[in-house]
Amino acid sequence: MSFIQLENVEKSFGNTQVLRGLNFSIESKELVAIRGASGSGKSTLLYLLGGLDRPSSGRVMIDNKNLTSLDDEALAKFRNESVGFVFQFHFLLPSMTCGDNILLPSRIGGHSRDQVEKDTKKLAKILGVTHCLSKFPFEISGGEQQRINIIRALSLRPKILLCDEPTGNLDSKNTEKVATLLKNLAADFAATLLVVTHDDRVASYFPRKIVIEDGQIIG
Amino acid sequence: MKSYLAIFRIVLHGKSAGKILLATLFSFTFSIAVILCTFGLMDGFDHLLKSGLRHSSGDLLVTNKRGFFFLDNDLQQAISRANPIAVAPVIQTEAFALHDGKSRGVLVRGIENHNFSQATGLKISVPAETVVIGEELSKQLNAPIGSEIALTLARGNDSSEGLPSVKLLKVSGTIKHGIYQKDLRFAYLNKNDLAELLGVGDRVNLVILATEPVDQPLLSLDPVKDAQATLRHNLSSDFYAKPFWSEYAFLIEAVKVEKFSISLILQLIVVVAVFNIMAFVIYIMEKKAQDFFFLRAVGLSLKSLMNFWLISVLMIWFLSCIGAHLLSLLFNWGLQNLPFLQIPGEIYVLSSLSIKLDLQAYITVYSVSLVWVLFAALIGYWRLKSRPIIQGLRQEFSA
Repeated sequence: MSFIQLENVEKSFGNTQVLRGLNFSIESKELVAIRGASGSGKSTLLYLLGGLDRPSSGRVMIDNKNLTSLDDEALAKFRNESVGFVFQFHFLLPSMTCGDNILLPSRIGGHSRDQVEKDTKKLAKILGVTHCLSKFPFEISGGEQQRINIIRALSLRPKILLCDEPTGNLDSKNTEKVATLLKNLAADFAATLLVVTHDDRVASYFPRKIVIEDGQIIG
Repeated sequence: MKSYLAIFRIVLHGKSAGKILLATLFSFTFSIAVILCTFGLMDGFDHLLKSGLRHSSGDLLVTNKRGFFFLDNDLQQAISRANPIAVAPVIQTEAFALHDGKSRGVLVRGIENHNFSQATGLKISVPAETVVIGEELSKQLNAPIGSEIALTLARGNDSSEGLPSVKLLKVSGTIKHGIYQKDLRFAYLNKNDLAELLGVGDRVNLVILATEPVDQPLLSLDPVKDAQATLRHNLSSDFYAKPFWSEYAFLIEAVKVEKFSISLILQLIVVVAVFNIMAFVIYIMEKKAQDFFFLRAVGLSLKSLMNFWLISVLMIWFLSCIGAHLLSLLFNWGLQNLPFLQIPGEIYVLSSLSIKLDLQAYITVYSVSLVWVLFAALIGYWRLKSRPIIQGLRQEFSA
């Protein structure tokens, strides 16, 4: 069985059907771009894969776990331990320093901080944000916030890295940088990478593309 | 615990959140304290009144419709069937006390020191040819210990004939019953001295009985009621047996009714405080919604969230309970030491009032407030639970 497998996945919000019978599989450590126009259902798909939402019908299998049948506690544990989220709006908590923001998933999950702190220092050095760790989010630039966001997503060495329009706020130069960075980091951390984007250029950086339109896979 | 501290830090970030939490804590503390103090005052009143009455009346008072009687073997035998632990024969008569140009109508009691102390718990010792008077009487007559007061008694009280006899007696002590009227009206003489003054010989007109240990508070009135029933059954129809509370029964009953009705009204105060807690919960929910939904996205389960709310409101409740207890102690201290908080005894019967809170009062007040705060916690939890993470994230992110 593939690492990620979707079987007849449908999702509706009230009378609006957003996803219509999706079937696909993704192997472990694959680097995938999910491309689609605004409102095509790509973000909804990403949230189903991340255990942030449940399908109306069908099955979402990840690493031999049926997310559909997990209770809230188990799903929260799955999100904490197996998934790293990189959001378009980085959403770093203003009440904490960037360093504490990075440690947040480990605190929520009650994990040991040693490995996380070690990885954080290493990644911060690679991404050039070491000086930001003791600063509050409002004291650093948008690009630095995004890089802190990425470090936080990788802090617990997740099996899947899910990115929702990670380059949405960046210019073309920085878009390429972030896309390359995500690819390299996913490879380094042996994570399966799924990047949701509406931008063909961003999608082109990844070896596999899934194109979604009106809730259906068209390519 | 680590995740709880992380969430708590997020929730309390910002000056307004901390201030609102403090205000919530104070209002809840104050509300609980008001209820505790009100209960304590009523229970204190009830306790002090009963204890003051027992200090002057023992548990039961036996009198005779004809006035004086002999405490003979038959009567002693009839009384013993009620299993009293102390029996005190007393001569009681009305008189005028005069001193320093002032006079007051008093109730003079002739007592046997040891028996009377045992039957009432009042530590009193009246040497022969002296008088012990109530503290308030001493103040009003300006008759301190060592002074000499005149008692005017009807000569031959049993027949109320002839001119009054005047007896000068040295004040050998003052006594405090705890009930203002009694401290103002009672004067104690040696029983033999009073018998001689009245010419009643070995006869008495009152027998005071203790059926329960008088130095301990009565947990129930039932044993005294039982003893009263036994006496009624065994004594001849000339005798009356009255319990100690009969004199102020209406007041004790009024306090009981008031306590119930006030406790209902006081719930409003708790409700107002709970509104404050709910306002705090809602404020945090609105202000920190982004944070909460993000925490949920990175692995905070609903159960952990519920635990957070439970721990938070339980902390508020616990700290409020401790604060309320301290405030009630402070109020009690004020009642005894600050003049403007002391009650006028001539109006409220008691010489002084203190609050008395037993375990039942604490359990009642604290458990009711606990139910309310748990209700507030549930509302907070329900507000978060009712919105799916994805919906919350989208709404909060787009805001």
